[in-house]
Amino acid sequence: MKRSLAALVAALVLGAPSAVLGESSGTVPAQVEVAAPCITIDAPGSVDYGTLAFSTDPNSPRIKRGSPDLGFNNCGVGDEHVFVNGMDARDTFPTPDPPTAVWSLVGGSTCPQLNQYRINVSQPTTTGTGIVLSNELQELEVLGAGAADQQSTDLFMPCSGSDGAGKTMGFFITLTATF
Amino acid sequence: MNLKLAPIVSIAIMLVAAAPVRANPGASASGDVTVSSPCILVSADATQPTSDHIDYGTLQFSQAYAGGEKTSTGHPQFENCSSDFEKVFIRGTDATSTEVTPTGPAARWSLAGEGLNSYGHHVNGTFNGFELTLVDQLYSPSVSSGAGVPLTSTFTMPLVGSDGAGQTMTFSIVFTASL
Repeated sequence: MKRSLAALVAALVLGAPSAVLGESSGTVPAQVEVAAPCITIDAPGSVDYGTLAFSTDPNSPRIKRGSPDLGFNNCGVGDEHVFVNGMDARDTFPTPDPPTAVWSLVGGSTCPQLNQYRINVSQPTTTGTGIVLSNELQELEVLGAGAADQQSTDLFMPCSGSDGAGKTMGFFITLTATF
Repeated sequence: MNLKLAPIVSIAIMLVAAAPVRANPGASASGDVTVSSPCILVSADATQPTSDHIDYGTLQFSQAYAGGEKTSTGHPQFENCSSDFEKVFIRGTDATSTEVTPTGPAARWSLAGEGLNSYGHHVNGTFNGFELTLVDQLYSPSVSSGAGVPLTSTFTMPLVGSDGAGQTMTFSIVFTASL
C-alpha cells in the first residue's frame, strides 16, 4: 500500500505517462449448437387395421396387426431414449368434435367390459407381448444417432356390445425422444 | 495512513518548487523516451486463420455420471505484438442464446463448470492451464515480444435438463495483456 501511494504521488508530480498502467485486450468469440432430441416417423405416418368385428370371447380376443409397421428414425446427433404412448380411440378423430363413441385404452383384457381396446407394440421379428400401450409414456428403446427401427402394433378389439359399430375409430400412437 | 502519506506529499511539492531555482538557463539537453504499450492479437483458430470464432459444433447435454461429459475442443491463439515482455491474463464469459425473447436471451449458462445451466471452459497451453472464470487469471507473467502462443480450449456442456436445446449459445474468451 505504501508503495502504491508513493508511486501514485510520484506519477502526479513528475507527470509519468499513464501508458505504463494501460492494458491491451482481445476477445475470441465462441459458439456451440445445442443438440435437440429428434425423431421422425416413416411415411405414410398412419397405420391401418382394416375392418374388424368386435371381440366375443374374453379368452380369444380379436387381434389385428396394423399395416405397415411403425417405422421411425433418430434424426439427432446422439443416442436417444424413445418412449411410446397411446390414447383413447374416438369416432370423430382427429377432429375435436364431441365423439359419439369412445374406447378406453387399457392394458388388460378387452372383454367382457365394453368400450375398451388395447394396443401391443413389439419387434416384428419377435414373439411376445412387447409393450402394452397406455396413455402414459413408456420407454421403448435406446436408439443410436441416425439409427432406424420398426415396431409392429397389434390392436385388440373391444368386446361385442361396445359403441362404434360401422364407424371408423381413430387414435394416435406417439413416439417421444429424449437424451 | 494519512500521517504516512503527508511526508511524501510534502517532499514532492518541495521538489517541484525548487526546480526552477536549480535549473541552468544557459545549458540544456533534450531527451525523449518511447514508452512501451501493451499489445495483444488474438485469433479464434490457429489451424484456420480465416475463422472468426471458435466453433464447438453440435453437442448434446452432459450426463450426470462419470464419463458422461460432452466436450469439444478449440484452438485459439494469442500473440504479443508489443516490443516488450507482457503479462497475459485470460477470462471467460457466461453464455447466452442467440434466440431472444421479450425478456432477453432464451437461455443463459453460467461459466461455473458442468452443472444445470452451467458450463465449463478450460484453456491449456505451454505456459499454463486452468478452468476459465469470469475473473482474469494470469496465464503467463512474461510472454516475450512477438511470441505467438497456441492454446487448446476445451468446452464442457451443461447437464441434461438445462435450457437451450436446439439453440445456438455464444460466449467468449477474453485475453488481456499488461506490461
